[in-house]
Amino acid sequence: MSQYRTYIIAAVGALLLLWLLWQEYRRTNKRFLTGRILVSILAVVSLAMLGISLHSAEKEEEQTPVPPSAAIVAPPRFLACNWERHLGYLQPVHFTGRYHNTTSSTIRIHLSFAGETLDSITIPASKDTTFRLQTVPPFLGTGLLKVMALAGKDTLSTAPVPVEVAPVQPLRVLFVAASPDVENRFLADWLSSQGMAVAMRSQVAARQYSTRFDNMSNVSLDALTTGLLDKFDVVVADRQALTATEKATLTEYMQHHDIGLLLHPDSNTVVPQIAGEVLLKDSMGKPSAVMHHRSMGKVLEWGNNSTYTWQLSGDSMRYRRFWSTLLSAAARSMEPKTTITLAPAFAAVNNEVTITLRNTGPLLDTVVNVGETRLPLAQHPLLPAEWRTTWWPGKNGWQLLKYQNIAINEYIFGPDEWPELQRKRSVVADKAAESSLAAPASWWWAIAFLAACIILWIEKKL
Amino acid sequence: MDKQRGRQRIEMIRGRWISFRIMAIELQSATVALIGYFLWGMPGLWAGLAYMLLFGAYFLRKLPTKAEVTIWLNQEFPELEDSTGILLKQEADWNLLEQLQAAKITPRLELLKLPLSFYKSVWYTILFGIIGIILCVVIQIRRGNDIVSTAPTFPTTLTEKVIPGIQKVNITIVPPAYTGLATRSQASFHITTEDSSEVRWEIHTHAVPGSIILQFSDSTQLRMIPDSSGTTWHVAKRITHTGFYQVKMDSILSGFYQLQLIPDQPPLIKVSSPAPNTTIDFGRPPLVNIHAQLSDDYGLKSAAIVATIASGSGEAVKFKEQQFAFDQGLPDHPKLLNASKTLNLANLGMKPRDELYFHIAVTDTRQQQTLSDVYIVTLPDTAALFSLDGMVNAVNIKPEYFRSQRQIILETEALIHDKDSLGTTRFNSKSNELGTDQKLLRLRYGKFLGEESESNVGDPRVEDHDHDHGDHDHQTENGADFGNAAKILDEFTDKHDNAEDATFFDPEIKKQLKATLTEMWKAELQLRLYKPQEALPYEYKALRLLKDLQQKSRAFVPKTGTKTTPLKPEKRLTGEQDKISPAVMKQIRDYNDPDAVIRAGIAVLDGHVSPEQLTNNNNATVLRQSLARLTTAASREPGKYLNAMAALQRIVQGQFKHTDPVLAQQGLWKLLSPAVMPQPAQQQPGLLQDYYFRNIKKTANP
Repeated sequence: MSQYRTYIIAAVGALLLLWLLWQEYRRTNKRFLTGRILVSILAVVSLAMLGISLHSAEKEEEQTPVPPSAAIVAPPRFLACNWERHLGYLQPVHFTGRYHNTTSSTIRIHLSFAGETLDSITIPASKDTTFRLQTVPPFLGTGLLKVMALAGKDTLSTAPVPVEVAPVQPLRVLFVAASPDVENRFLADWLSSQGMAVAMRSQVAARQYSTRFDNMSNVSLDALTTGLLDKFDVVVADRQALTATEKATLTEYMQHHDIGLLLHPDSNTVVPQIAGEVLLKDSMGKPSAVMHHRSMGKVLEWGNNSTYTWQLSGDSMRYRRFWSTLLSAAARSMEPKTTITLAPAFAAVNNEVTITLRNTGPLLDTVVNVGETRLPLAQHPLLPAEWRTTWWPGKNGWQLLKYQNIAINEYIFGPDEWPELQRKRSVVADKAAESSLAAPASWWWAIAFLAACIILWIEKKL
Repeated sequence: MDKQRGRQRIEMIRGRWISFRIMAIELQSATVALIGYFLWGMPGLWAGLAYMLLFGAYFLRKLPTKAEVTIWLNQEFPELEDSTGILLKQEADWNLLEQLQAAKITPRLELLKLPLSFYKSVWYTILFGIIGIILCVVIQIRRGNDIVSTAPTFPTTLTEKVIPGIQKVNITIVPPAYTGLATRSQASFHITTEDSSEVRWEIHTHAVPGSIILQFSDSTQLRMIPDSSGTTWHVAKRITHTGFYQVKMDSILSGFYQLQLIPDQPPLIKVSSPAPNTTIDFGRPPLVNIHAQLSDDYGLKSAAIVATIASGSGEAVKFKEQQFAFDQGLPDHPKLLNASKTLNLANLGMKPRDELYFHIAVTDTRQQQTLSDVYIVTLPDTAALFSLDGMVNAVNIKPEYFRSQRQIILETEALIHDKDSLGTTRFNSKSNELGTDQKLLRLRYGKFLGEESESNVGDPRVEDHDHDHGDHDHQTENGADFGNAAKILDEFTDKHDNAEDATFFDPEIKKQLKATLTEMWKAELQLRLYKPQEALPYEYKALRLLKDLQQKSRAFVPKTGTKTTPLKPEKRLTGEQDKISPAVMKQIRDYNDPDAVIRAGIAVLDGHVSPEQLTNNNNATVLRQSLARLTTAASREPGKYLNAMAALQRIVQGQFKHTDPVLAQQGLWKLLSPAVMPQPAQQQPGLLQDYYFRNIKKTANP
C-alpha cells in the first residue's frame, strides 16, 4: 500500500490543481491570470512534494525502534523468532517466535510451504505471546518455508523461513548383546536396510561371540576399546553384556565424547524411576524413554523390550518413529571441522554481514569465496579458532559460500523480509545513519507552498 | 409561429435537462456498481442497481415542469427580461404587450447558449466516476497484494490445452451394457467414463493435417482415420484402465488429457436378520425370517439364498444343499433391494439337532458376485438335554436342581398330555403347583447370585416359623437373649453381601445364571396363567442354559509333580569351548532413498525457477527424474497428478507460467511416502565449549 501512496498524492494533487485552475479561469476579474495560474501550480506542486517527502521520512522513522508508549498503537508484529537454518535429513524444523498482537482480534500464524499450511497457531487479541511451530520440510537442499500472519482473511505479513536440509548421514551403531535376541536383530536389520553401518556382538558362550557387520568392514569386537568406540556413534547394549573393564572404558570414554549409550531394559526395569530428560511418553502420559547426560555422553533407557512386535504387527511406522527418536537423540552429533556462520542472524542485502569461520584444525586457506567475491579472513584476537571477515551482499536470496571444499548455502534477506527483525540488528548503526541525514529537503517545499499561498492571498486583497 | 418556436425551445431545454440527469444517475449507479463489484464481487452489483432504482425513482417523481424551466431561464439570463413565462401561455390569452415581448425574446431564446453550470450534474458525475475508478484500483492493488502474499490460487480443475489447428472435438462415450446408461457425447478432451466403455473421438480440423494420432499413457498409439474431406477424423477405443492421453497432429503435441475410469463396485449385502447364530428352542415356530438389503452401483441381476442342512451327528452326518430365491424378484435390475424370505424349517425336513447354514449370493449386471457371511440356525436336541452322559463322570455342583428342572418339564408335558382327561379346575391347580415348583427352583438358584428371597426358602429362621407354628416354647425366645443386640441384628439383617456369596462364581457364570433365572421367571408366569404349553419353551431354554452352566463350571486341575536336579550356576558355561567358532555374518546393503530425488526436485522448484537455473545440468537431471516419477503416478491417478505433471513438463521444457513450480511441487509432495530416519544432531564445533566443559569441574570444586 505504502508504495502506492506517492501515486495517490500525485493524483489528488492533479485533481486539486485542475479545480484550482478552473476556479482561477472562471473568476470574473481576469487580472494577472497567467501569474495566478503559475502560482497555483507552484502551490499544488509544492504541497504534493511536501506530502511525498513527509511520507518517505515516515518510512525511515519506521526503522527506528518504537518507544514503549507508542507500542500500544504499533501494528501487530514479530518481536523475535528463530529456527534451525540447517537441518538433518527428515528432521523437523522448530520455528519459535514471539508475536505481539496489538489488534483487538485474534491473529493466526501459519507456517506453510508451496501453498500448504503445515502448522499454525492462534495469537489471542492484544497479547504478546511466544509460540512454537514445527514441521518436517519436504525438500532436500535449500527451500523457503513461509510464515504468515493472518487476521481473518487479511494477510498482515509474510516472511520467508529459509532452511537447508542436508542429505542423509549414515549412523554407525554398535550392538553389544548378552545373547542373540530378536529385538536387536530386528533393529539391526532395519538400520542396515537404511544404509546405516551396524556391528553386533552377541555372546553365545563364555568367551565366544557371534558377530555381524552390515555396511562396514570387519573389526575385532572382542573388547570395547577407545579405538573401537571412535568408529561408532551409538552403542546399544545389554547391561550384563558388558564386562567390568568395558564398563569402565565406556564411562571413561563418555567423559570426553558425546557418544550415546542405549541400555536395553531388564525385565524388571521401570522407566519412570529413572530421572532424566523425557524423550517419549506412553499413552498414559508416563515417560517411556528417558535420556540422561553423563559428562559429555548420553545414556538412554526405555521400558519396552519387545518393540519388534510392532514391526511384526505391521505398525512399522510406530517402530521407526520410536527408534528414530531414540537413536537421533543418542547419536554423536555431527561436528564438522569447519563451520561458517553469518551475523546478524537476519543478514540483509546491502548491509554489513560478518562471516565467522570456526575451525578445529589448522587453517589451510584464509579466503572465503562468495560467487566471484573473495573475502580474506582475519583471526579473532582472543579466540584462536575463530576467523572473521566482513561482507556486503549485493543480492538477496540463497548465496553459496565456499571455503576450500566446504560449500554452504546461506540466505540473504531482502529489505522487505522480516523488516521488524532486521531493524533490531543494530540500532546504533541506524541511529548513525539517521543523524547523517541532513534536515529533510521537504521544508523547502513548505516554504514554496507558503510563498505561493501568500502571493495568491495578497493578489486577492489588492 | 414565434410562440411555437419558443415553446419548442423550452421543451428542448427541459428534455435535455431530464436526459442529462438520467444519464448522470445511470453513470453514478454504474460507478457504485463498479465499486461494489470490487468490494464484494458479483453481489456488489446489486448496490448499483439499488442506487439507480432509488435515485431514478426519486428523480422521475419530481420531473422539472416547463414552468420551472422558464423560471430558471429567467433567473439565469437577464436578456430574456423575465418574460419566458409568456411563451407557455395560450396565444389567445396574449395581450398586445405580451405579443410584442414574445416576438422580442423568441429569437434571443433560440440564440441562447446554455451555460456550463447547466451540465453541472454531468461534471460532478464524471468526477464521481473518476474517484470511483481510483478507489477500485486501490482496492484491486490491496487485494492483489494479499493474493500474491497468501497462497496463490491454483487451478484445481483441469485446464484444457487444445492444438490451434483443431476446430472442435466431439467425443461419444458408449457405456457398456451392464451400466444401463445411455450413450453420451461431450466437447472436451478430458474423459471420465465407466469401466470398459467405448470412446469414439471425432476431431474437426480447420486445415487438412497429414495425420492425427492419439498417444496414451501406456505408450500405445491410435492413428485417427480421416473422412473424404480430410478435416474430420475418427477413431474408437475401448477404455479398460485409467491414464491420460495426448493428441498429436502432424508434429504438434497437445496438452495432457485425463482418462479417468469409474470402476464397477461389486454388490453389497447387509443382513439385518437373523443373527449370525440363532437357536430356535423347542416349542417355538421353526421359522427363519431373512431380511437383507442388497445394493449395487448399476443394477442387481440375481440374488439367492444358498442353504445347507446338516442332519445327523458324528460319522452319520448328512448335508443337503438347497437354493431359495427371495420373495422379491429382480426383473428390472434395481440398484437397491430390501429382500426378505421366510424359511419354514419344518417344510425343509429339519428335525431337532439339525443345523441350517446359509449365505446370500448376489450377482450384479456385470456378473460380479458377492457372498455374504454364513449364518447358522440350530434346532437344539431336546433328547440330549435329558441324557445324564455329561453328569456321570463329572463334578456336579447341584445335581438335584438340574433334575428338578427336568422334572418340571416332564411334569409339564404330562400335564399337557392329560389335559383332556383332567378337569379344568384340576388342570389349573396342577399348573399352578408346577409354577410354585418352578418358583422354588428359581429362588434356590437366586441364592447363588446373592438375590434376596421374598419367602426365604431354605432360611432356617423362616422354616422354624413354618414348622413350629403355634409352639410358644421358642428356643430363640430365651430370656438371656433379651436385649442381645447381636442376635436381633442377626435375625433382621440380610446377609446377602456375604463375601463368599458375592464371589462364588465368576461374572460370566453369574451372567448365565441370571439368564437362566429370567427363563424360569417366564416359565413360572405361563404356568401360573394355566398355559403350560407356552411355558414349555422357557423351561427347555432354562434347562439348556443350566446344562451349559454345568459344563462351564467344571474345573480340572491336573496334578503334576516332577522333580528336577537343582542347577549349579557356578558350573554353567564352563565347558570346553575351544572348538566353537561362532558365526560371522557380513552383508552390504545398498540403500537408495527413492524419495530423495523427489525431495531434491521440490528444492530445485522452490523460490524462483529461472532459465539459467534449469540449464544447470544437475538441476535439469533432478527435474527430469522427478518428472518420470510424476508421469508414472499420473498414469495411475490422473485426477491427482496430471496437473502437476503437465506443469513440471512445461518447466522442463522451459516454457511455464508463474504458478507452475508450486503446482509441480504440490504434486511431487503428494508422492512422498511418510518416512523417518535416525539422524545425528548438527552441532557447531567449539573448542571454547570443549574447554569450558573440561574445566567445569575444576571451578565447581576448587
